[in-house]
Order: sequence, then structure tokens, then C-alpha cells
Amino acid sequence: MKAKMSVLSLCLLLCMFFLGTAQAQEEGKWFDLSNFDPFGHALDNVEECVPGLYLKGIIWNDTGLFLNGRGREGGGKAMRGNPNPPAAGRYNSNPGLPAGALRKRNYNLEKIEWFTELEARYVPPAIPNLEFISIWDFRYNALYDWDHSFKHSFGATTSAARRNLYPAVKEADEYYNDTKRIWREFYIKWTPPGWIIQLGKQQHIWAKVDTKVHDDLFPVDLRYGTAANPRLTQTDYEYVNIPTWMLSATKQLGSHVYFQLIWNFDYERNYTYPAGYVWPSGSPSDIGINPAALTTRMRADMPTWNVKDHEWITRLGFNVGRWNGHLLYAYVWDKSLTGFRRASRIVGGAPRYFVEPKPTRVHYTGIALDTNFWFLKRNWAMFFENYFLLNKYLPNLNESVIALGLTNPLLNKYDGYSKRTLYKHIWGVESYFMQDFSFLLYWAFTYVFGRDGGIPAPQPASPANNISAIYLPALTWRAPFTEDRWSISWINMITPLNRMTSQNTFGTSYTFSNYLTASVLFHYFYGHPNDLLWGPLNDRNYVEFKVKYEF
Amino acid sequence: MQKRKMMFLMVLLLSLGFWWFNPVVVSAQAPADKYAPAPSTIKGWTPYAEPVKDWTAPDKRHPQYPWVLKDPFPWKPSWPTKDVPYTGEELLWLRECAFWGAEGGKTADYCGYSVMRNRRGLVVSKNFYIMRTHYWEKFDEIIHYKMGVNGLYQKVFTILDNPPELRGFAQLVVKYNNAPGKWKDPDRYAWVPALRRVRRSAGGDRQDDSLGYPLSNDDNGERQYWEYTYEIIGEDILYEVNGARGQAILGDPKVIVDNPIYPGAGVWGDGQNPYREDGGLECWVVKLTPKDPKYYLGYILDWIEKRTKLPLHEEQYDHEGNYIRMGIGEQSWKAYPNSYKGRVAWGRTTILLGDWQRDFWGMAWYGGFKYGQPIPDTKYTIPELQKEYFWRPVPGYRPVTKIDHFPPYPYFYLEKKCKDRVGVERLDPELIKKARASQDMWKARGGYDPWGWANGTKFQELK
Repeated sequence: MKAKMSVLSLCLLLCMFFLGTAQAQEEGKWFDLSNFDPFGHALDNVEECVPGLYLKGIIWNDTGLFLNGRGREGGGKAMRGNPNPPAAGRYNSNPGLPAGALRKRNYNLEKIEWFTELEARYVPPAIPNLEFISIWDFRYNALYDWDHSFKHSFGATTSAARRNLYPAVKEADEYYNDTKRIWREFYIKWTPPGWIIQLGKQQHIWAKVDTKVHDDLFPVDLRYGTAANPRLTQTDYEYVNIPTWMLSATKQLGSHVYFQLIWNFDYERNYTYPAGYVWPSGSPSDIGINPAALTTRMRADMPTWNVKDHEWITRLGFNVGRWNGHLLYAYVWDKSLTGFRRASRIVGGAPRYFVEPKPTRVHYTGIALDTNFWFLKRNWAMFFENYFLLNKYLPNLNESVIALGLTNPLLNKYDGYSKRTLYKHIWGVESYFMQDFSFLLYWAFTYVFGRDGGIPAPQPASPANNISAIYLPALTWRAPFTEDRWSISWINMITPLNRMTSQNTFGTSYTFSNYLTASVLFHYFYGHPNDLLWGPLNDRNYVEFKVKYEF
Repeated sequence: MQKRKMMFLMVLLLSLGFWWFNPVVVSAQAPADKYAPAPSTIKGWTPYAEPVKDWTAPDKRHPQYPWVLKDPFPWKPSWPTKDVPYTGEELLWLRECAFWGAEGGKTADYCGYSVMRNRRGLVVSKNFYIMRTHYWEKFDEIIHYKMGVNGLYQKVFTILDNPPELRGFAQLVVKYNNAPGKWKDPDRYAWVPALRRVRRSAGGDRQDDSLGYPLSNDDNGERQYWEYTYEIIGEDILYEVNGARGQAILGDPKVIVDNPIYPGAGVWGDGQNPYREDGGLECWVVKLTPKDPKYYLGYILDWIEKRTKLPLHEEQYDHEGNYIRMGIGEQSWKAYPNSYKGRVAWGRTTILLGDWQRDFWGMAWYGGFKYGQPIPDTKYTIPELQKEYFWRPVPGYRPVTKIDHFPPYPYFYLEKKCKDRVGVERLDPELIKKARASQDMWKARGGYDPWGWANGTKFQELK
């Protein structure tokens, strides 16, 4: 395995070295990087044959390499200086795998991802404001063929985890192997004056800030990246979002106001990693309410294609002076399934809890704003996005099996959830200094109305009904002597007020040409394993190499 | 009797002779060709012994806005010296009006192709489509803040269709009319196809590169002319701009003569043929010195064509007098008559961008100008950015994909000596050698012709 990794690293380094030297075509070198676009040139021929057809695509390799060594601390052993170590298997293990005294992370690679996207747009020459768009994605994660230590981390071949969990992880992560994931988008766009009408499988991103607030109402495929995984950044949203079949109509009402209506008749829930993956998997929301070993999950009650089950989303966009924004109201289904406990029975002499996962209807309402202002002799952009999420079902530990007792008849009365209203906002500013530096500063705040001690949100085991996170998502320097093509950035997400943990990404990237870019990113997690968010990942620091070709 | 007749005849002949040789009467009798070439008043680079300074007397300055001149724009000649009709300040404001297409450029719809190359020979290019609307009728409204300080100046919508990663990238910039101490940076919104969203941006420092091109945001239209002092340091003749020669620099002289930019306003040189008999264009060379001593440039030299007041050549120096950049270094133009309310608009045909320090260069070809067509205000809105809608076909100019096909370096004009141009002689000899090799390469191909390249009528043998 080490030999393979060495070969891979060497290949990547050689690749970057040759790309670097290849620019010197002027000096008679071997390779003309300016015009290196083999796929693009091939597609040019197709475009010439079909007037109105535009093709473009991406190929990238993204390889992640863990830096902490194999099971640095060893499962179950106390971390140095930790007076209160977590239980065995709570860290240094594959998240979601059964706890074991000796379980540890004993694999090296986070991923070896080969990703391709092809986008075709056809504009009938006679109707220039009509466009047909189709986007296909293909993904192959070579981790499963290259790094067998990951497989072995699930235990011996006879173990239940190896037999049941590993195939599920591989199935979800190795390939895009269903049409839904491969044929990402397929829609028709008609733009008569004053209108944008889109019908088909599509996605929308409205964010003012560089993360999700209003966009929370759309489904995401977290098998691609989770909140804890640094991949879930704004540049990945296009691939993380799950496009759905919908009709979107935007009407411009004068030069200062527009209205958008989305009629979504294709409900999709959020997808999460299966247990045992490198990164924490999404857990059913009733974890902690019903003991997993005694719970029977019934078939999920999903929305139908009936009109009454459709989603309705409206936006009123406006521009007042230097303020730009929109008001949002959405009547949608919660994208996370709520596992209501429907019954508690004694089966074979033991209690059994029957849980029905289902999405619930929620209302989102909020505002998004941005503006510019001049302050301290420089220009600033300010962003704000908030929403009230009404009718959100949150798990309530006071209705848990542990709180009520294994056989308490009230378990049939209480479903384990309480309906609450959530408030969330993110406020941010962006500016620059010393000519070549730019920075962003964000403050995120979440508040639960009517929270009681049983509701583990927005943070478990804390009396507070709110949580603040301060993000300094980007401090970027662009090297002027490379015409801004080489950049160094530091992205820091930190929860300073509530059990401080943080995730840092130090990155550098280089744009070689119109078609080729490469980046190296070092991801560092800080915090105690008992902490929230990034603390439990403190043995998963890793470095990521990415080479991207766009054609 | 005979004597009297003879005397009468003599007087008549003398009168005829006097009448014939009287120039005023002659001109009245036989008007000069209005298309006649511009007179050749200089033989070449002519630095002034004493630079022409600005008007600083309080009676010349605007009482409310003393950083600008009092008189209404466009200015009649103020004759700061007997041979020079305008001060540097006046010329630069006339130039600024032309920079935005002049008073006929109320709305503009055009497209183009730009290419950049860096020191190591990497070539990257973009196709762009632009719609622009001015929120003023006459440029005097800008100079004298008729819409108020920080009033709306213009809106510009730009969309790119190349390179692949940027196809559909659209930008909306709303620019305001600023004043000292009252600054309103432009509003900038961009639809980023890779992010699938519209993002507002704080922009960047005015001294930083603009959109990755070798020019600063100030060069790209954010320069404020009240932030400088001016001197006219001399006169010069230019025969070539971006490889274009003769009428390819400013277009057909008949169009220029028949369509003055400021008809009836008494602007010196307006509506006159700018070309000399030998095809040269006479320019005043204006030195702009920033009032801010910390500004990234020490001074700028601008070659402004005498009659049209168009900028043709620019050189930028640091505080030690080193020649470091060119900004929009060279520009060629074309007049578009009857563009808006019968007025004329100026459209660029080519520009050259340059940075000597980084050996970083850019060239752009413009075309397809449509002036005066109504552009609805809804074009400058967020939904419009998201449309990724190309309202016109691609310009179809031949792309530059190799360093050997990139336009030649601009001329150094080493022979044009003066204390402000000493920095040209201090350029890195290796760079001078490299630039000369590029110029010689194109000479060997028969001379560079930007439109011969762009339209594919020349240089087909270059693969």
C-alpha cells in the first residue's frame, strides 16, 4: 500500500512539475500549455457540426491523504492529557462502526476521486431565448481498489461490519451508479423578455453568504460531503445539491422588483453516508430517543406525486438603493426524515419500539440582503441571510425511552419529538487590504424558540437555547507576480463561544491556464473528542491534492 | 483721354491684383477643403521648455466644487499659452468623456475578444459581450454633479462565453459619480456559473489588477481626474497604434469631419481631420501626477490626439521615474455618427494593456457596436445575470492561442527623450531585447495588422 501511495504522490508531483515547466513554451519547451485542451478541441468539431450546441466539461482528480498515521492513539486508549476519555470506539474509529476496544482508524487515504461532468446546452438557432440543458456526472473513487486497509478497518472478513457495512459504504461511495446521480440535470429554459421559465430537473442556489441558509430548504446528497467534511464549501454545492423536477418561473416587475415561484413536484430527502465511512455518517434523528437495538424502522411515509404533496417556494427580489435582497417564503417538506415512535410493544418478552420515518411539512420564511459601503478607506460588502423555520420537529429526550422507562405506556402517547420554531442567521462582511489580500468574516447564530432541557438542539447537553459560530472563512492572498494565478488561503471555522472547536484549511492553488488548475489543501481539525462538530475529527487531519481540467 | 483710360486700366488691374492676393478674400472666394489633412506643426517629438500648467486661479474653479473647472463642459479653448488651446486638466476631462463613448454613447451594445500573455508565454483569452447605459445626457452633468454627488453614472452588463470555466459568467457593475471625501465604490454583482449563484463583491483595491488583466481598476475606468495635477510637457506625432496605421487608428477622416463630437460648442479641433499629410496624428503629451504621494504610480504620460482628444498612447511610471506599466497603453478608435439624438459616439477598435515589470500583456479587439438602441433598465438586474443569455452571435475573431501569434510589444520610442521619459531607457535590457525580437518577428511577416489577424485576412500561413 505504501508503495502505491508513493507512486501516486510521485505522479501528482511530477504532473504539477511538468505543468509548471510546460508554460515556458515561448522558450521552445516541449509542450504548449496555452492550447492544451484536447477534449475541448474534439468537442469544437461536434459544435461546428450542430449549430447552437455548446458542450463543456470537467475532469478532476481529488486525492486525500490522512496525516495522523495509522491509529495514532489506538482505540480505547486515553488521549494524552485527557482526564475524561471518551468511551472505547468513540474516536479513532470509523464513525458508526460498533465500538471495540481495539478499533482504530487504520487506513491511509481519504479518497482517490476521479470525477467527470459533461454539460450540453442546445439553443435552437431560430429561438435564441430557448435553451435545453443536460448535465451528466460520473464519479469513481479508486480508494476501494487502491487502499485495502480501509476494507480491513471494518474487521475480519467474517465480522458483521465487514459483511454488512462495508458493501453499503462501497456501494454509496465508489461509483455514481444510478440514473438519478448520473443524469444530474435536464431542463428547458425559456427567457422571453422579463421572464425566466425553467422546467425539468434542476437546482437553484440563492445564497448571499457563502454557505447555506435559505438554500437549506433544498435537498443535499451528503454522501458527497458532510458538514464536518471540508468538502462542503460553496464550490461544492453544485455537486452536493440534489436537483429535482420542478417548474421555476421568475417575472421581472420593473427594474427593482422580481418574483420567483417554484413548484416542486419531486420530493427528495437528504442522503447521508452509511455507517462506517471515513467521515461521520448522518444518524437517524431519533438516535437517543429509542434504543437502536430495540427499534424496528417501518417503511418511510414519503410524499406522493399528488398535488397536495408538492412543494411551493416563493421569492420576492428587490433592489432599493444599494441594498439588494429577497424575501422568502417556502412551504416544503423537511429534508431530514423525522423518526416518530408510533408504538411500543412487548415482542418475545422484550420491549420493541416501532418508528415511522417521515418528512414533515415545514414553513421557511426569511430575508436575504447584501449591500456595499465605504469604511476605513476601503469598500466593504455586507451580507445577511436569516430564516424562521416553523413546525420543525426536534427530538425531545424527555420523551425518550430512557427518560420514560422501557415499558412506560406513555411511550405510545409520546412520539419522541416536539414541534418548535428555529431561527437562524448568518451575517458577514468582505473587504480587502494591502492590495492583494481579501478576507471574509461571518457570524452564524441559531436559536430555538421554546426549547426545554430535553431538546438537544441547537447543542446537546447545554442549557443554552442558542449557538454562535464565528467563521473567518477566507483570508486570501493572490500573488501579483503570477498575475493573481497563484493564491494562498486560510479558511477557519470556529465555535469560540461554545466548546471551542475549529476546522482550518490552509490551501494553495495555481491556475496554469484557461483549462488547468491545481491545488493542495491541508485540513486541520482542532478540539476535544468530546466536543461538538470538529473535535471528534482531530485525528483526521489530511492533505488534499486536486488537479482540475475544464474543457 | 488715352492717358486717363490707361490710368483707369492700371488702377483696375492693381485692384484686381490686390484683391487676388488678399488671403481673406481668397478664402472667402474659394473655401479650403474641409477634409484637408491636419497641418504639420511639428516635425516629431517636441518637448516644451516650460510645461503648460493648469488653471488654479479661484475665478477659474467651480465655487461649489473647486476640484473641477467652473466653465460648462465642453470647453472652448482657454489658451493657457498662445500655441496650446487647452490645459492638461481640460484635455483629460475631454478625454474622459471620449473614454465612455462620448455624449453619443448613451447606450452601447458591443462585443469583443481579449487575449493575455504572461512572462512565461502562457496565453489565455476571453470572448465578451457588453451592454452599457449612461445615466446622464451631457458630460457636464458629470463634471458639475447635476445628479448630485455620488449620483448614478452608468451601469454595465458583461457576459463571457469563453474560456469554458467562465462560459455564462456575467457581471453587473453600477458606477457612481464621486467627489473628494465622498466616495461610493461601484456596486458589483457577478453570476458565477461554477457556484451557480449571484455573488456581490467588495471589489478590490483600485490599484489592484482588474479582472485578471494587466491593468488596475483605476486604469479600467475608476480613475478620478480630480485626484491629479496636470502639465502638458510636449507634443508628438504617432504613426502607429497597436499595429494599426493611418486611417485604421481613428477611422475615416470624412466621418470625423462631418460629425463633430460637440457641434457648435466651439471646441478647438472638433470636426477637423486629425490626420496629417504623412498619416501621422499629432498629440499633446500630458503628465498626470497623483496628488496622493502613496499612490502606486508616480506619474502617467498620456498622448492625447489634438483634434479628437482621444487617448492613443499611455505610459505609467513609478515614483523613481521607472517605466513600469502602460495601463490601457494603446487604443484605436472609430466614430459612430447619429448614435443618440444625432450625436457621435466613439467606439474602441483595439486596446493594448501592459505591465513591463511583470512582462504581462493583453490585447483586445472590439466590434459590433450598436449605439443608441434602447436598453431596458431590467437588463441591469439580478435575474438577468442568471439567464446566461447571449443576445448576439460570437464576434468570430481569430483567437490567439500561441505566444508566437501574440501581437508585438509596443514601441519604446527611445528617441523621444525628456526628463520624464528617462525611465524608458532604464528598462531591463533583456526585456528590450525580447520586445525587439517580437517586433522583428512581425516585421519579417510583413508587419503586424491587428484586423488582418482578427478577420483572418492575413497571416493564414501561421498555424
